[in-house]
Amino acid sequence: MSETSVNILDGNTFVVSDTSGDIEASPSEPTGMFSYDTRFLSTWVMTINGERLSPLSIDDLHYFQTRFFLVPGPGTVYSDNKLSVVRKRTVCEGFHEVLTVFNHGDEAVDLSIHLEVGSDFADLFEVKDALTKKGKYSATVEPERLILGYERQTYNRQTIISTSRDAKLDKQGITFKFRVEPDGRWETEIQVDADIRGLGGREVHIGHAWGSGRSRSMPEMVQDLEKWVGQAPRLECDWDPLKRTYRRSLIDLASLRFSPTIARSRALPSAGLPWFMTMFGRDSILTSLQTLAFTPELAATTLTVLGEWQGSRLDDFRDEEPGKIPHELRYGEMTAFEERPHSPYYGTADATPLFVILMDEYERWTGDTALVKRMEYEARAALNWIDEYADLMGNGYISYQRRNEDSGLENQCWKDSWDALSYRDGSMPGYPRATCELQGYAYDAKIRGARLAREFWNDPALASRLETEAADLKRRFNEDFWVEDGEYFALALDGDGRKVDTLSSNIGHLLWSGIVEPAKASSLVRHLMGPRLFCGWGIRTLAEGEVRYNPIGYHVGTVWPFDNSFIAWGLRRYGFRDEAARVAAGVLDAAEFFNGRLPEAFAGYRREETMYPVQYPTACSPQAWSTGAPMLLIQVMLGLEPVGDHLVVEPVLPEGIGHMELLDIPGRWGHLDAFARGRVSVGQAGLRAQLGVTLPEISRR
Amino acid sequence: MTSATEAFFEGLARRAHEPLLEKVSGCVRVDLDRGKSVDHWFVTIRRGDVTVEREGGEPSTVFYAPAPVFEKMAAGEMNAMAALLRGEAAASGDLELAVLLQRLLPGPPTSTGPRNLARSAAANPDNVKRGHPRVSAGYPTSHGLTVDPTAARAEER
Repeated sequence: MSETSVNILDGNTFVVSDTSGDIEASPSEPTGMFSYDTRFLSTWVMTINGERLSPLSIDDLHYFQTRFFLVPGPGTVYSDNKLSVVRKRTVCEGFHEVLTVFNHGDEAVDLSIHLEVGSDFADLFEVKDALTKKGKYSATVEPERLILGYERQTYNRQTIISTSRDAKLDKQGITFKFRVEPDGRWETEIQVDADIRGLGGREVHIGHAWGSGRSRSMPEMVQDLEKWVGQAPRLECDWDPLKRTYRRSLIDLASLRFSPTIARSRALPSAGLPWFMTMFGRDSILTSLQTLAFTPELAATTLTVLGEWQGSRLDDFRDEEPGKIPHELRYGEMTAFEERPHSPYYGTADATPLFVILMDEYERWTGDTALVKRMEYEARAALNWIDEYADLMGNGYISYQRRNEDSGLENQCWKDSWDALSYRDGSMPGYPRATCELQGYAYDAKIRGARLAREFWNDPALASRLETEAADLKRRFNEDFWVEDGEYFALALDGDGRKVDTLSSNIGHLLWSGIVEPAKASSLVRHLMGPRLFCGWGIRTLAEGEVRYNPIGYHVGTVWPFDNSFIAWGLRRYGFRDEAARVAAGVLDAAEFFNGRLPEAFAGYRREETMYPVQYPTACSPQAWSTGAPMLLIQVMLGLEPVGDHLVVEPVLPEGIGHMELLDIPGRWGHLDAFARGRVSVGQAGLRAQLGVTLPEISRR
Repeated sequence: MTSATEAFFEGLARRAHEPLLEKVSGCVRVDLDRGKSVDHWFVTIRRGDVTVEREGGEPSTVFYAPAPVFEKMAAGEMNAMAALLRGEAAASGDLELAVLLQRLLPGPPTSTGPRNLARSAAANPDNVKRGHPRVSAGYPTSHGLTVDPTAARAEER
């Protein structure tokens, strides 16, 4: 995405335009108005008396609302400009635009504003892969409405553009002719709606942005956002960048909330803008885990909704099996015609154990026993999936291999790019592949499933069996995956049970899962914090020195904030508190360079080489699990941990933060405050721009 | 020969209790359009207890499809969600019920499941049944899940 694009979004409707508010979609750029994975507007270009406009400034009023201040002409020369235009755009089931023209001159002017309008109705997958359309386009002009249509057999989508009476409409756009008096203004409103027609013209309700009916009003959206921010814990801290990052994260998280049809008014986090505004098993679960101390209601919806889509049959096209938690749900044309399997697609090997982990962790924080009792069947089915369907090699490990060879995912773990897994010599393993973190998740799911079975499902026999299985898995894993000459765990086992022996960040997830024998933890930590993996901003996905290492390779050298947040949690779990604080410091320093909004990934260059984190070229932003990362890092730094009905606080802050307070943490305890003081006294002089760089003048207490 | 549609509703009725529907209550009216007439199936769910009738009152959800389209769904040859998106079928009212009910439809008859199951299926014919749609709603018992015996019988039709 180009740097000039502006995103405004509401649930899974979003608009990407240039800085003038214009949309001119190119084949491969995701500009336009998108709703339910379909581009409903690909051309939206304004001219005034035949001239394009240039931006003076852009004002992001809310995540769903942007105001563009414009002047006619090319923009470099503003001299003698007597006109200005304000374009205020609000996304809310389609979008609403208010156009205001000001005449600053002392003579009346006659003006013609033209909006060129068009839609290619591209499926988001088509935009991504630049494919061509198979259906027919239409355009219908009605009084005050222009309707753009697309039809392929029974599939029918429409963009409805409604204007006021003074507009002249034709199939290519809208024209307004009017006069503005000296010091006068002219204003009009335009509404753009995405319409999905089902069989026989029936309206198809397939989902909507959080809390919306079909007509969610702007004041409601503003109110909702204020309430959302107001209900979340308040952060006080003497290191200001963290406060900014936290606030940015809260607001971005609000914007990424998404309600699939069946969630009614409840919301779960979608994965990220622009490609992933939908329900994702893995992303929704991990984001829910990151935000439990802040917005636990997201976890409740994630569990409920994913449970309702849990696999119930064998479907090779969708890689579905009974008990499996879905990977991704899509609503676009290619999904509709089964050119893609996303209705929903189940090709994920980690979402199912993670689902059980989230359920247990959610109860530990919230005490919502009703939910874990209500979802007993789904949790058992998920646990059953691990044993019955996930062990493809019959060796007691979760592995994956797609059955949909055409459009299924080759890699069904979080590092899902084609070259993510390699041996030390750079060659890549065959299938099935059993990545190490999957075994950690399976272990953790069994341990947590055992707690749920014993405490809530009245099934001590299942609990004992799960514990026995977990202990056995841990013992075998610590032997089978251990790379002797490197003293770390292999990235994966290949189809022949051979170790994929590269050093990767995946070993950090193992700490989070607890599958690591304590004696092996310190050598893992040595690797994680050593120069091959830790670049100063965070831990790289793949260690420097590996053949496929590339500091700007998607999963082979970049730093992922979400990955680091879970690794930091794992470091804490094994007692490496200072190391956890160091990871937090690096990632939070990086966040400051991105104005508090962490991208999906950034380059793994050494910190001292670049002095600032280099953004990965096509990274998604905002992205849910990057948005959740600062929250989990705050939890980790404060050492928040639910123990029984209490919240334990054992803070270890990075140097550079003198004090931190998190107020009104929701949970089974009601609301509690957590206070932390740094081990280093930080006076005003000691406060610094970045946490991760050691300044010699700071005095130890 | 019984149609797949009839077999689906009869299997549902015989099941009497369906754990996949335990979280909801309501009535889904399935309207199957035969051109000159419309067949109605009323599926009433009370916290997982299921009854199927040909007549009923005001439904909370209406699922509509041409009869031949639903026949394909009931035979596992067409995915209901994709058909909805495509406009070959429609749903209105409480869509949560529609989503949950479609999970009871069988998977494609040609689907074999993960590899090791295919391997072990050769040695153990019981595993082949697991791949069959009719058993799909019940999970194996090892985690305390019950396989509905009526579902298994439906498969033997």
